[in-house]
Amino acid sequence: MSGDNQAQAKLPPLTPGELAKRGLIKTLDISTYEPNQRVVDGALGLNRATSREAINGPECPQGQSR
Amino acid sequence: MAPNVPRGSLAEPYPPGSSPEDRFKVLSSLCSYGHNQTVISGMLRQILLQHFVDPTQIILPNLRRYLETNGAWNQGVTSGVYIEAIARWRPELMEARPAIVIKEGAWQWKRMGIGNVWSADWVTGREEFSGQWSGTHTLFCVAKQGAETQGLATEVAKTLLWYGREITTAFDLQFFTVVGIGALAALKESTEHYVVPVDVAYLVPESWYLEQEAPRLKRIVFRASDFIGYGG
Repeated sequence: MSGDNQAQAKLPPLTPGELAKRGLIKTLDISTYEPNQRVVDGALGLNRATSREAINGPECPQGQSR
Repeated sequence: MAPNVPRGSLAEPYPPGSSPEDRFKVLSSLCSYGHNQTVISGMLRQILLQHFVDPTQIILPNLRRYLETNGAWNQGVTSGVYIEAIARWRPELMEARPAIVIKEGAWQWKRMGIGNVWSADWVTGREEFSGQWSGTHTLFCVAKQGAETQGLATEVAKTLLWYGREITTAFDLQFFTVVGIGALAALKESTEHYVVPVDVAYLVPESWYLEQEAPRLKRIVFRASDFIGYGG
């Protein structure tokens, strides 16, 4: 192992804040965090119309057929 | 009063020899106060306290060993894990230990039928309404190590997922489920901590009725000729 590698091995692990600064993870703000409503509705079975659309494909523009 | 009936119990008002029928499944303050966001926060906190109070209940081995070494949840400042609602969150108490912070999300009204009307009695004027709230809560799992934070989030999510049916029944909900476990992130309030959000969602039933205070048929003014088709 070279001297540089030995020096790197002794470095402490990066803190979450430093990882976020380097773009490796995101920063989460508890005050503004909100669950994705579309995902929530899906988990509760409340977006049946959306599910039907996914099965049948998007609606065709008026006057056109698939 | 029967000799063996403890004073203040439900059976006390009934005469000796009688067998009062108790039709309540569970006596609960939910019957009196109904659901709200604070009640759901308390419910989630209570479930997690009961889970984290004993290391033998912990699903993940690493987390179980951590709590065996550092102590399980307790009410004091020596608790091995800090579990609290966002409004009572005291950051100084979660500095050196994993924490679960419970935050209520938005409640959205889901209308059922036209104008929430479930049924109407045209004689008395009584109208019954019904619908449901679609609600969310997020449990933020906070710790100093990345894997530790993800393990805590997995433990919370699996516990709530596995007991989902029991939670639905016991807390008089229509549905309760875990939505998902979020990605590992840095906590904005403290750059030394990781955070992983666990989202849960539920449907809260809501029913009510409106009753006319005055008799509905008190005064109806009409002329018979308006209905039987000849001029009068």
